[in-house]
Amino acid sequence: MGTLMLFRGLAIIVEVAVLTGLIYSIVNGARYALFDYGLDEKYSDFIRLMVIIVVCIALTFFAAHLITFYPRVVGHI
Amino acid sequence: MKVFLPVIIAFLVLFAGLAAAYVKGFRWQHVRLWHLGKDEDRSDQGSVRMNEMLRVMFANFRIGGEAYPGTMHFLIFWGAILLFAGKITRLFSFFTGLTNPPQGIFLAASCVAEVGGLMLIAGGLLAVYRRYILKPDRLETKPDNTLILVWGLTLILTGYFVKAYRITAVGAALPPNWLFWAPVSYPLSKIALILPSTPLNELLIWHRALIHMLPALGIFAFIMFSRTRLQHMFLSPVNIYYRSLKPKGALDPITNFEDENAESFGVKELREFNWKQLLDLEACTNCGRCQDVCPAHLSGKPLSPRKLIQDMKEHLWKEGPKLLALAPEEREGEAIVGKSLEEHALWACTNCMACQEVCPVYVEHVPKIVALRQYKVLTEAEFAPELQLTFRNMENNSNPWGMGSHLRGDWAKELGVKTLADDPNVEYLYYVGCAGSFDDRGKKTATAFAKIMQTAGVSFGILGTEEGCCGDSAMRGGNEYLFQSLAQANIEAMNGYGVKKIIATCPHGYNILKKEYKNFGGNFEVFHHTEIIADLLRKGKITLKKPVNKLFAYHDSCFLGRYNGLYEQPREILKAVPGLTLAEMERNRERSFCCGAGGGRMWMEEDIGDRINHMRTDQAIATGATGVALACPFCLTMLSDGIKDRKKDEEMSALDIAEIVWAAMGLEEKTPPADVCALPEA
Repeated sequence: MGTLMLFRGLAIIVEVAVLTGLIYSIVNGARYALFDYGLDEKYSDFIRLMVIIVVCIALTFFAAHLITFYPRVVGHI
Repeated sequence: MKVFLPVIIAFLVLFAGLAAAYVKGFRWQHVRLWHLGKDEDRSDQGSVRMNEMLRVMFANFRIGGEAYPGTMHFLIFWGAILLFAGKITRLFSFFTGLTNPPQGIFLAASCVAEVGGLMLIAGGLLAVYRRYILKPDRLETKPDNTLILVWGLTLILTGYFVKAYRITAVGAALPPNWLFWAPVSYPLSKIALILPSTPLNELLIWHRALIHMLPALGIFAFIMFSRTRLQHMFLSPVNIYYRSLKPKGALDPITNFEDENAESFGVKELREFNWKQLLDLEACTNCGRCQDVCPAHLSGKPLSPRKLIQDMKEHLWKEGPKLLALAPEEREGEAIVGKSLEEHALWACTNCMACQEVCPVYVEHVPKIVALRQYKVLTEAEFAPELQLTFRNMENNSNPWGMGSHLRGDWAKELGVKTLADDPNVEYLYYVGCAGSFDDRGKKTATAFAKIMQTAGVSFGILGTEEGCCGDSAMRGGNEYLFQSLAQANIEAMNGYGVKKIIATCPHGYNILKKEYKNFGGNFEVFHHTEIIADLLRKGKITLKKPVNKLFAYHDSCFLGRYNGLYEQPREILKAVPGLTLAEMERNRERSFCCGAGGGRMWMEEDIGDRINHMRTDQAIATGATGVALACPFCLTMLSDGIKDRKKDEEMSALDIAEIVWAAMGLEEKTPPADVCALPEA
């Protein structure tokens, strides 16, 4: 049981890392696209701040969600 | 497992709409920007264009030459192809009832997609190691480079997770050799944590599918609607398709000198490029191969062909939308030079075309540089003082040295060389060029070559005082008007004698007579003297019997090699010389390093960075050779100077191939030119 919990903890860390990568990618992709479309550079700091806030909120949600609902049964075939 | 069905149905239903949005987005984002430029017809020879495009796309042949980036690109490119092929095939498994248990083609598709994913990960890791650890100078890391790598890696990982969970949930219904069909997902499935009931697991897989599919759709949108370098996936093939099919290195002539309403010539702003030149800017992948081979950049000049194109791309993206927002008659773009490009960069280019030779997507750097120079010279009259003197000399005396044009034929007086005025019924016109006519070093080449032809019984004559400068330095230096007037005078004289075949000892003259004079009515068959000598040797019309016991390094002239593909004839001749050993410099043939004299640089001071001719001389010295064999008078001057400056002139010499051949023929009775008879011993 202890090994399973440790494994589950590691799996959650991996999942959060992957989700961080995805959220970073999507949010920054949108940010670069906005500037590529001519958004004035003066909004850069504001948008960066918003991105950080959105990413933090999303990750907090994902971490909480995963800790609560992440499966506890090892799949076997 | 039907959890993907809604996603697939939605995808298929939306596909037409998505495709239309992509086409419209492409047009809105790219095509209308290109069409700010002038018209240019590139619709000819569709099959030739298509063949080359497919060859470049699928063989990646201009990338494969470099082991590390070649392997990296191969893994990423083919990994992506396999992944998509596998994914698309599996998309249809839902409609054939073969999904559960998976069979046949869908099993193969699973394997192909998983191998593709692994290749992508391997290629991505190579890219990460190169970009963030090796950090080669030529790579410029922008924020979206990191983004693409992170996005790509996480997408592939989540894809494997989806399948691993599906395998776990399907359980006993799996085929026995599933490890082969899912070499990554199957091992992952062994450690996947699942929920205790089937409905909950379906929900779990639905979660995983969303986490994979939403970012996947996101990256497609990002590629399409941002300015990411990943756009090279579709911009590069378009650029390759529409590449120039004109003779290599040929430039477009300015045709409106007679137009009294013309306010400027050359290119000042974006709209004065043609549409393909603007497409070029967008298609540049920023790979930096051009920078790695640019002699100006490597010698510390403020020119990087990569940066030049990237800076103009930024200019296009910044200025283009502003111009498009205005009515066509109100559009007036900002000058490129001075705003987005440093003027020194413009004048540092030697037109050696090494950048174009290595560019994997056929960006044409040199014509843009020449067009920008044309504006500075013809419209603003702002260019280097030493070039002003050169142009004035060419205008007044039809040669860049400014020596009296009446002296042009003097070198041949004692050789008994006929002029066409004496006898126009000769097979070849020997176009001597300015160096052969006026430069002491060049005259020795011209003399040796004339003697070779006389010995071989070649029927030839010269124009003598009727010959004029070919205009290469004027054209490449931006003075198209001067070039055209010089070309027209030469063509008039040549056509007046009914000239059909021309031999040139200078590759600059050879190139311009062959490719540019056609635009003004000069249709000639043009040969370089190395082609003629090689032919005479093959036919046994000349015999080389006197040993030249030396080790020679052959320097490929840019205008002979890269521009005209003449790599073998000079080598064939040198190998035929008894006693002569041929050494190859590290940079040879297509990768040859410029001597520094092209593009009008012969006449300009080189006061920034290292001297290019010194760098090339060092490369020749590094071979251990005691002689440098050349086939260009400009290169001859530059390498001779380099040898003197490196204080190697007592043990090393630079000689034109004609001089070496004439010496090896052993027919010199009187005192031959000092450099020819006094070949230093190895």
